[in-house]
Amino acid sequence: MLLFAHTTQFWYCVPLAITVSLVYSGTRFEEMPSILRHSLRSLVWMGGFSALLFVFLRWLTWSL
Amino acid sequence: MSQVPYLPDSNKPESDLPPPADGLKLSLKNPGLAAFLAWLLPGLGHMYQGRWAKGVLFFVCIMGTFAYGIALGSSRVVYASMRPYDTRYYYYICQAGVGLPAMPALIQAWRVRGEKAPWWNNWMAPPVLIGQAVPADWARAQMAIGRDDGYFGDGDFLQRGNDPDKLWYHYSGPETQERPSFEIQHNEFKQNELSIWHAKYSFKYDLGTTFTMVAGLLNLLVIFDAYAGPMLGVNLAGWEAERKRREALAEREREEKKRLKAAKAPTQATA
Repeated sequence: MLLFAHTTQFWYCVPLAITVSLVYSGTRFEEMPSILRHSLRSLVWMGGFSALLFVFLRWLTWSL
Repeated sequence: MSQVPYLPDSNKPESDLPPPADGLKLSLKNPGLAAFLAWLLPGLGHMYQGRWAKGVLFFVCIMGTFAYGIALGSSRVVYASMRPYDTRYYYYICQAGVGLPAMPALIQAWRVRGEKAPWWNNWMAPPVLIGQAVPADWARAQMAIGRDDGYFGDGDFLQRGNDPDKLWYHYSGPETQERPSFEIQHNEFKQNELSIWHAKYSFKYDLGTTFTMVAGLLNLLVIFDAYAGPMLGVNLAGWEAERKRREALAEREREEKKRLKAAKAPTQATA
């Protein structure tokens, strides 16, 4: 329940993740299609990794 | 894929230019100047180099993040201060990465240090600390705004000594805030203006600080990109195109062999 009380705060991560992936990809490539493609991939990686971490931590603290 | 030609003002030989990225050759013009412009305003260095798309992308992303941080926690999430009991200057080091947009904080810190009133409606001004001397006019104006719309109430600034132009800050508000948890967390400095901001903006003050810091740190990557070109020296897009080209060639060779074999087979049968 504590988790759901803070769910709305998670949404602030979304614009931050989009910006970070766009700027990071922008400094790796020069052409816009490559930047956007790599940015999308970074975003999926970030989201996926965070989700995995979340599931792992949830599993660790399940009985608490 | 469009090719970016060498610009005539580049005096570097082709071999000295940065490695190609996405199959392009870049001219960074004057890299030092571009890096300085990139720091001054995110994206400006790239616009100077003629890399308009990336310049606009960086400007929108970084300034958008910085502005959103300010919108979340007010302009006071960005301030420069190196006073005892107010050690947030290391946050400002990160925020200063965005260049000019964070510079008002330095001017405000200099004003407050000289016991002068901050300019621009306190934009990016450091918080008032207990015992801090401020101009009397400014203090009266702040108290007139009131606690609901501002941060100070009647009696928060008092005269001490014989100087009629100076008032000293001392908190005279309620001992406990509306939320009991606030007192537990900020009890040790609850009379500081910074703790009033925390109480007023709650977690959004911290979020605003984080957003503005991330914007400043991201601009460091952009400055590097303006100075030295894309970080990735390896031409991944080119590799992909080359892989497809080789696959097509191999496929054509296989078909050619098959065709030759098929053409040979009836000849051998006839022989």
